[in-house]
Amino acid sequence: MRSICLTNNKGGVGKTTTAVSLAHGLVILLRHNNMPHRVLLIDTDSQAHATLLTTGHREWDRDSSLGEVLLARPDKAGAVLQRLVVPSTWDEDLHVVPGSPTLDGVNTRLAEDHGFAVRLRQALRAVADQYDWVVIDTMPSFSRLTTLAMVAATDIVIPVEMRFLETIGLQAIVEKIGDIRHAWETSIRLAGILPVKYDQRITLERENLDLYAAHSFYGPHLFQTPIPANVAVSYAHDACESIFNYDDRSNAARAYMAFVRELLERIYKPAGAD
Amino acid sequence: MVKRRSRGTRALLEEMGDLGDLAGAPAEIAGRAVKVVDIVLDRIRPDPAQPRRVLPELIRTEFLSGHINARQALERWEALVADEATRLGRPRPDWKSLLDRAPDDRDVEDTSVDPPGQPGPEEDLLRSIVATAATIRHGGQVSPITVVEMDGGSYYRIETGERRYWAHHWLNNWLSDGYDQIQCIVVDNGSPWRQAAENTSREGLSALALARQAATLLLDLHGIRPDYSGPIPNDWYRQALDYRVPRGEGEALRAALGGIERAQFSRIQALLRLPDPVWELADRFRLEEKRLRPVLKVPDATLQVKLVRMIVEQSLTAERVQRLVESGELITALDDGAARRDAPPLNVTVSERVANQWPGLARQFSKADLDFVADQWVKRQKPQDVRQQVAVLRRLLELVESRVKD
Repeated sequence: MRSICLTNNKGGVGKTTTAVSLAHGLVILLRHNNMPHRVLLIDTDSQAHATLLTTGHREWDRDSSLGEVLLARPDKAGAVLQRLVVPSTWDEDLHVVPGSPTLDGVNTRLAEDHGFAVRLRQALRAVADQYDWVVIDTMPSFSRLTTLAMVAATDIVIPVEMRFLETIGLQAIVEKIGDIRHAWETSIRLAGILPVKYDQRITLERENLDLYAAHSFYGPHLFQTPIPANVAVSYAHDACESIFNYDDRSNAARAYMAFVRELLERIYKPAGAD
Repeated sequence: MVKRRSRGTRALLEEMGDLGDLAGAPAEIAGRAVKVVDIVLDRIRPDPAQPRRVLPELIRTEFLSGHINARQALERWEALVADEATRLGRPRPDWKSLLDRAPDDRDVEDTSVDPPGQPGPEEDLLRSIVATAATIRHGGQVSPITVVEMDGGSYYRIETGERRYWAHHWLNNWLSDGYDQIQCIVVDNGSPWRQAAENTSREGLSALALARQAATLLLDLHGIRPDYSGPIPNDWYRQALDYRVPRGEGEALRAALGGIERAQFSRIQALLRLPDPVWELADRFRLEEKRLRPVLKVPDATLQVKLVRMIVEQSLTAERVQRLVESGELITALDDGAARRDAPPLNVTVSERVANQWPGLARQFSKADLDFVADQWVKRQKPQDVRQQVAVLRRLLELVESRVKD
């Protein structure tokens, strides 16, 4: 079971849109190729937007959301997680562990537990035989919930806008990955940096993208197809639909599909295999 | 009101959905996915060729030979630490309180404790194992160990994570409940290169461990792998001195050793020439390459051992060791050092112990009933162990004969 965590401590950069599109994109692309394709989406954001988009509901509380897993006794957490999984309205092979506003309180309570960071990772072992992929959406901060999401992940994807404030925070996120790898003895790796909400009509964004592509570290990590700013995403959100189900001919749907393909290639193809 | 424009994802998938090679190899992909499984500790064995040593040497040899089990190994280690603490005038470690302490408490409590003297190397090592055990107890096992299936699944050999394995055994010995299994990632084929990456990415790899690591990788490049059924003799690593790095492999080899320079590789490799007692001391006290390097210039193995003992006892710097060796006053310094030694003497190494006891034992052979000795020898040990010991004795006799002739 491979776990992909979407993270960026900057808000509004498209983490949730990317998380839900990745989760559904993995299901439909892998199923199309007769490959294992059961995906579990975990919402660690107290705004619970990923939950709302994929289930159509927002009435989740602590007793029915991820918060209960994180506050459960470690030996019971796996069973609690299995009980809380709900089907998505998007696809029969996409399931969801709902987030809820109570996660803010959970984040505070986790301060009492020095072993908090491994709670999600340990709980996920209970469902390792049931899912092939886990996609984790995170809140826009380096909170304890974000830390435990990253510790539970095998790969990190950083969605980033090609704008000044967004790009200067990138180094901090990369350092955070290094800190977590060292402090919690994980082997998480940076799967890539995904340019999102990209508007090629804006010169500054084009220049920033070129700068990143030429950078010695960021360049090789940059995904080839930026996700364009596209009104179809807003309409899909409004209908609580997947971008692939809502408009599979939109630029955003095509770009997200290209991203999912490239991510799979990065994970499974050894470097230089071509 | 929004209008749905998509009619499923067929058009998109027809255009972009073919994963080509990836889709053609689902089994390979499944095989590469990491899966963590719980395995009973008794079915797991440490890698005898692991260059990084966890157990004290004598206990390690007995354990890998199958003379003692894991529980007995830890009990002996604990007893060794207790003896060492008594010798150094220190209180015996309170393992229970160390195990009870959560990681956050440790720093606070450590500053209030001021036992006399410094802990010996065996205590240092065991403390680190117990600290790992406490972390696992209070925070769970964060990182699974990596194991290789051996003999069709009859047991698993550890590739990485031997310290966590011993920490689990420690928990199992002390707390029993729930610690008889350990989370493992089972890999298809063991790789000394993957092991090297794990070893060199962490701090604390001693110079001799690095030398063994270099030897293991160099021999692997020549298709030579050790016999995993028992302890690996030091001579197995020393055979690397007879091999050159194959053309085009040097960069990968040095990268696997932590990105060392060509000259440093040669210096590390040269340490393999040091005699066994020096290996044992250098491992116990984690001596650095720069302090061992001048020892290679001392022509006599006995003097080399004495010099290394002096390095440890008097905490000599690399510069001081080099000056001693190059000044030609080494023998005088060794005599002086022995005369004014204020620290407690070090435990003798295995080689020294055998060398001290052997002449007395050998003198009694003529008075003994050799049939009875042979009978008891064979009865009390496993046949493969006896065969190995006979081979060692034969080698000893050859060495003695050649020296007597000279």
